[in-house]
Amino acid sequence: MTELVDLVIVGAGPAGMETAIVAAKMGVTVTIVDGYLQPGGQYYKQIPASFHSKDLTERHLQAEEIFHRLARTNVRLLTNTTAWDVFPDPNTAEWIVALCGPGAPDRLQAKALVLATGAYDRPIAFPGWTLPGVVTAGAVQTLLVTQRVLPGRRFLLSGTGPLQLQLASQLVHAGAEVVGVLEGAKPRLSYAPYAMSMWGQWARLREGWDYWRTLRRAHVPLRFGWSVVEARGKEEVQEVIIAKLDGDWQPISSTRQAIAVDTLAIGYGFIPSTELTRLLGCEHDYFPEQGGYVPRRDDEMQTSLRGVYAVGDGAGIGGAKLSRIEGRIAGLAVARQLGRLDEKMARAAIARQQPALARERRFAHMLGKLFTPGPGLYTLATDDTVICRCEEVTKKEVLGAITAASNTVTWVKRITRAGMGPCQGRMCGHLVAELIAQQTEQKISQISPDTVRPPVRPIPMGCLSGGSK
Amino acid sequence: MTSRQADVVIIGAGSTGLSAAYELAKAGVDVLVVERSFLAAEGSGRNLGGIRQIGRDINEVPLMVAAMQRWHQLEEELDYNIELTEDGYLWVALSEEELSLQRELAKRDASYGIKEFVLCGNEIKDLSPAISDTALGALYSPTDCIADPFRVAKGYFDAAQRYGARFLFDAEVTNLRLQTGQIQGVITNRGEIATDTLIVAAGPWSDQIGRMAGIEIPITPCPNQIIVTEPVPLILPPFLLISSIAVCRQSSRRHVYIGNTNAPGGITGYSKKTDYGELVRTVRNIIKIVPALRNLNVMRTWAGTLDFTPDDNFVLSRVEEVEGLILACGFAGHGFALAPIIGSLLRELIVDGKTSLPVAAFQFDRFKYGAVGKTKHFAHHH
Amino acid sequence: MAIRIGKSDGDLPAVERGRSIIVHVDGKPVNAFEGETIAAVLLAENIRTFRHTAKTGEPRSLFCGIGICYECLVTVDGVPNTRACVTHVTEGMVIETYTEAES
Repeated sequence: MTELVDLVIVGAGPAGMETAIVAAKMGVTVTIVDGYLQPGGQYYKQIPASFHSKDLTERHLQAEEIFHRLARTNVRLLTNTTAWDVFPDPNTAEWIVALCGPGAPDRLQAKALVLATGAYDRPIAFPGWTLPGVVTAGAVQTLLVTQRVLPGRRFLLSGTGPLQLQLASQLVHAGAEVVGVLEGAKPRLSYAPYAMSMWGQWARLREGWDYWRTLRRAHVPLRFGWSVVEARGKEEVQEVIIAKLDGDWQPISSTRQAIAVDTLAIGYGFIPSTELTRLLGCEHDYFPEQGGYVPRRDDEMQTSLRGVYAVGDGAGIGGAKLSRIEGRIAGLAVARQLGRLDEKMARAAIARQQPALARERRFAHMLGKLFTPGPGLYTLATDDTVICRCEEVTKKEVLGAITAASNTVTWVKRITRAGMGPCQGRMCGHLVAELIAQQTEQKISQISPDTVRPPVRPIPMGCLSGGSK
Repeated sequence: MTSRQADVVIIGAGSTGLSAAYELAKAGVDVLVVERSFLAAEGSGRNLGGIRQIGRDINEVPLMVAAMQRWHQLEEELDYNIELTEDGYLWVALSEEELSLQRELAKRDASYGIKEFVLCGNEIKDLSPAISDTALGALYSPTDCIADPFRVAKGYFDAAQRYGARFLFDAEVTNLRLQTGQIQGVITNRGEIATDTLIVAAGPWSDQIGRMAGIEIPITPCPNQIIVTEPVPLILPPFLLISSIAVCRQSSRRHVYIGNTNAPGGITGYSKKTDYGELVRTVRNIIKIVPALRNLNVMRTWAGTLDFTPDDNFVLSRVEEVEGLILACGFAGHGFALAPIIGSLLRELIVDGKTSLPVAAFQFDRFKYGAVGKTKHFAHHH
Repeated sequence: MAIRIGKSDGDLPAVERGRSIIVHVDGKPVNAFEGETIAAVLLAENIRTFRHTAKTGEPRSLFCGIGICYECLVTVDGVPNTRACVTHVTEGMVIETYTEAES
């Protein structure tokens, strides 16, 4: 059964919700599809419906406000639903989105698509990274924010970027012991020009100051230019080895130290979820400061395919604020494409978003430049370290499959099975690419990602029978 | 642009081309493989790795028996783990006619030394408890095998190189050089290679090469779909074959693979991405036979293109009109299992001038005389 | 080792959890709250290893926390490969942490 709509948005985070609100106001019929039980994405993630809280934090109020605005439109929200395949309808040049979820139609047919698929933590492989107790920063934060569960008592945070400070501060408030926050980046003089990007970011500076103060009061040491290099333990992590990094983020072995912890949270930035734009065959470019491969877009968020737009972190890491601005622009552009908004008004409305867009992009660019992991971090894995966690493929096996002639992520996958497991290469794809780049002395931007095939997330086979789920 | 020379040029680094390159190089022939993409990029890397003797056309049986002997030695011969396992094949019968056909074939194949057993309902359940009562019976061939297609390609590639075979990847053939009906060379976007002997092992694209030589190879490209699930506890030990519906197997790493059986009459064309309608059809059909599959999570799907000839049999022969041209194509999914013997036969054709096994049924000139009768392939694919 | 947070300050205001329910973890009855994920319940019970891998038998647990890495797999009411981090507990749910059979 195929249902017709004007616009399908994949992802109900800040970018997707903002697009939906703007487009729906112009009379566009919109369906948003989201894989989780509740809308909000990672930024506005919620406590479960059966939990109650008097939450007056800034972020929660923002979330309430956007949910409220969305509720006043006639946007249809399909949660707990996976958009697992997208392809052009050969007869109409419209887009078919195949769905899997309770109560969701099998297929939606849309005149326009907005992909607001978000991002996920970029894992770094090091000896012991598969041990229980080694978790991504995002996992710890999700447990704290949505479940109010502390996954350990004695934490070390290692990674890069300001979100580490936020997480450390939350852990302190929740009563955990944070033995340290290791920031891989080092402040350098060459970063001075970026200082101007902070102009106008007063709320962010205040937030940063609050985190800083919390950590100072709790005597949490913050070290710049350090990283975890190994995790040790039998059934779970008991101790981590940390080391100072050189300019390429290569650990300096003489600085190694052991620290006893029960939980290690790693947060080395984010990887945009580009599965759908890659599946569709949109053009992509590699920008390390945006998280890697991102779809090429015009000024109105349209990808290289007409009628396919990409917004938010899934189109390049930029945070919630930038995501919402991009969503607004895409909503206006779609309304114009569908004839619900005349050219002149659309142009004016999009122009009004430009100053805020430019300011947020400058800020995102600065964060990206300051906090992108250097190549040295991709040398932490030893021969026996597992690179593909699903299929348990070691670094040695990956290196064994790489030669001058066989130097693609796809070929390494075919020979070693790295990337053939249920995470579909999300955890190891970039690690394999880095190993190929190192081994064959190429730039990481020269290594193409693996081909994406449907389903873009594992789905029950029943969904493929076009019937009940 | 470089200019090269080789005694034999092979177009296509799939199962057929790789096996031929290995056999020829080992016999001391100077061979160069020209490949548009990389190893096993098309059908040879998109199949399920099935190596079956069961349900074959009578002309293929002696070749398959010989191929099976080679498969068992291949790991040692190539000095590479190709992950060969003797899982057996179970061909499920859905009608009385199919069942009586299976009885006949079991008798026929026994005369070639292939052990096959006709099973009734209870015996099927003992072997594969996941199969529904829709199955009336089955033919079971315990000595049929599975190997990993990529590891086979890599094993052949490394071994062929050790014997001196050369490979030119990312090289698309744009034309052939011919003089008075004789092959003189191959022109690619990465330069020209002078040769007087050319093997066309380009699968569904072989007809395009044929046209460059002025001959018409009748090939219909038919995309087939593969579905792979998450790893689950063992539910399907033998390779399941359900005529005109699907094939299905569980790997040693416990993923379940399902392939549909598209043939001329169904959708045609070249594709690597699965077709939504075909996926739905395949899943609907297979869950009638193996209902437990319904609850498994699908991780990945892909498509591969099979090359069908009008009589469903492949072509393995010289071409009368073009001296130096040898065709090895139209395998329609049978190329992987037969690869070890096809490579040997191609070597014999070039080095000895004759083959040690009968190949009369696979001559190219059979298409010249109009109506070609369908051969009897009882079970299709992989 | 892991705990349910009672009181808190900063940007983690206190919550009132959902209805108290019983689930079964590896045969033992365990207290949980409606709305909790299986991962939260297991961690609060001090169960850190959710499974052992098929090939090498290594212990594995929660990793990405948002449903994409498929590391936190457990068997729920007989269904294998269920993600503990995104699956919510229900009254009487039978959860098994397990060792995958060596193939």
